[in-house]
Amino acid sequence: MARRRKSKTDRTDVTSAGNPPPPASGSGDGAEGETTGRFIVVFKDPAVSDAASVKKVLNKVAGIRGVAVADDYPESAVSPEDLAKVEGLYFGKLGIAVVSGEEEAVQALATAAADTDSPIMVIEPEYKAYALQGLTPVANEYLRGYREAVNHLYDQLTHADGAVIEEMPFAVFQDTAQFTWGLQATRAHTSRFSGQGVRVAVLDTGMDLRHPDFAGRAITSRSFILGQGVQDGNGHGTHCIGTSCGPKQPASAVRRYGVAHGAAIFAGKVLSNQGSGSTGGIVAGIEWAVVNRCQIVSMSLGANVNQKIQQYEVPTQRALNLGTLVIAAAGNNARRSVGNFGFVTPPANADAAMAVAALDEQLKVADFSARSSTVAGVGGKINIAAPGVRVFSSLPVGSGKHGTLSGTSMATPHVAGIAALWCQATQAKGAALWAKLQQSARALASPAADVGSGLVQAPQ
Amino acid sequence: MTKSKTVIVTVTDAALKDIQSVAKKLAAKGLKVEQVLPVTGVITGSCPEGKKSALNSVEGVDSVEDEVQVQLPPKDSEIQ
Repeated sequence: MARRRKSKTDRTDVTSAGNPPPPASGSGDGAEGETTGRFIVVFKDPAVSDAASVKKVLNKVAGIRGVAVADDYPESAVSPEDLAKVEGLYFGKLGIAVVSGEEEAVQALATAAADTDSPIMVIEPEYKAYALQGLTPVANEYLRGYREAVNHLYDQLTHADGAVIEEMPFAVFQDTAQFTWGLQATRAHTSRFSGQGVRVAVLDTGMDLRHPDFAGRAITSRSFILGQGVQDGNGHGTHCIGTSCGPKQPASAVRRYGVAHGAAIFAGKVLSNQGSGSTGGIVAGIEWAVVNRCQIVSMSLGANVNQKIQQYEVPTQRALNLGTLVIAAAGNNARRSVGNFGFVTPPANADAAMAVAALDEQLKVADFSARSSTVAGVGGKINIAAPGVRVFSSLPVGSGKHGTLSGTSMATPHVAGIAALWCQATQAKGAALWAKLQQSARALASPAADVGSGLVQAPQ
Repeated sequence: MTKSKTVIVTVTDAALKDIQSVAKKLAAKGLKVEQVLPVTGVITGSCPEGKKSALNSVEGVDSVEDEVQVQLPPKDSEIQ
C-alpha cells in the first residue's frame, strides 16, 4: 500500500474520545510497540458488512479513495502490486480496514469513531510483529510461570470434571474456626475497639440470661410484655444480642460471633416469646433506652405497613436528638428472584432510624432484603447494609446454645455493634455517629436503593 | 358499645414539658390512658372508635394513630 508521509506533529498522549492513540516511538529493531505509520479501522459488527458501504464510509468520512477489497482477490489474498498502489484495504470477513496514515484522514476517522451512530468502532495504529526467535532462558521461565498461573486460574474456574463454575464471585467470605464470615466482612474481627463504655439496647424477645457465653457480662434487662419475663423463650433476641455484643472468646469454645464484646448490654423485651409486639411496648423500650443513656438501640423488628407513621417518626427523631441512634431492620418482605422488591417497614422507614439491608457471603443483597421505595415521600429508604445470610450466633441454651439464622434481623445487630465501636473510638453520638457509619461504609456495586451507602465497616 | 382500639398519641415539641396535662385532657375526651412517655413524647391508651377524632383537637397533640402490630416469622422459619 502506498504510504503517505505523516505530518510531523507532536502527538501528546490523549485519552479523550475523538483522538487516535499515538503510536509508541520505536527504534526499528523489534522494540515493543513499533508502528508502521498505517492505521487499522475496526467497524462495528454488523453495522457494516459489505465492501461498498465500507468504501463509502471511508470516502465520506476521511476522503480515502482507492480501497482494495480482500474478497475481490482469489482466496482473499491481495496481490503485492495492488498493495503498493491503494490507500486502503478492506478485509470483509474481519470487519477491519487498513488505511494510510494521512493526519487529517486519521483524525476524521477518530472523530467518527467517537460518534455512537458511526459504523466505525475504533481506529488504532498498525503495529509491527516479529516471529519469536526461540526462547531465551528468561523468556522460558516467564512462560513457565505464566502457564502455571493460567492452569491455576483454570482450576479455580472449573469443577474437577472440567465443567465451568457458573459464577465466579468477586468477593467470598466464609465462617472460619475463629470468626463468623460477618465479622470478617465488616472487619470487626481486627478492630482494636470493643464498645467499652458504650451502652447498646437490643429491643427484641429478651435474652437467655443463663447463657454460658454471657456469664459475668454486664446485662441490664427489662420486660415490656405483660405476663412474660425477660428470659428469652423465642431465640430471636438472644441471637441478635449475640451478634451485636457477643464475647471475644466464647466460653462454649465456638468461633467468635459478636461485634462489641465490651459494650454494656441492655436487653429490652418488647416482643413476646411468640414473637408478637406492638408500638406501645416498643416505644416504651425506646424511652427506657434513652433514659438509661444508651447510645444505640437495635431493633430487628417491623410492622407490615408500607408508609411512614408518626408513632415511629416522632420517638426515633427525639431519641436521635438526645444522642440515641436507632438502628432497625429494613424488612424481609422481598422475593427478588421472582421480581418482588418488598418495602422498608416501620420503624426502619422512619427518617431518624437507620434502615439496614442484608447481604450474603458474596456481598450481594439477599433475596428477601427490602428495597427503598421509589415513590417520593411515601416509603422509607435503605441507609446501609450488613451481613444477614447464614449468620452464626448465640441461641437459648434450650435451643442448642448457638445457631445460624438469616434475615435483615441479623444484619441490624452487626451495624449496632459496629456503631458501638465507632462511638467508643470517636465519642460520636446521634446524627454524628450515623454520619461516621455512612462515611466509613465500603462501597458496593449494588445500587443505593438496595444497600444504602454500602457494607458497614468497623474502625480499626 | 363500639370496640376500643389502642391508639398512639404523639405530642408537639412545645407541649413536651406539659405532657401530663395533655394526658389529662385526652382522658377527659375519652382516652383510657395506659402509658405516658415524657422523653419520646408519646401517650398510649385505648378509646372507642367514635371518640378517636375528638382527640386530635386536644391542645398539644401532634398526631393520633391506631397502634400497629409487629409479628416475627415462626421460630422454625428460614428467614428471620
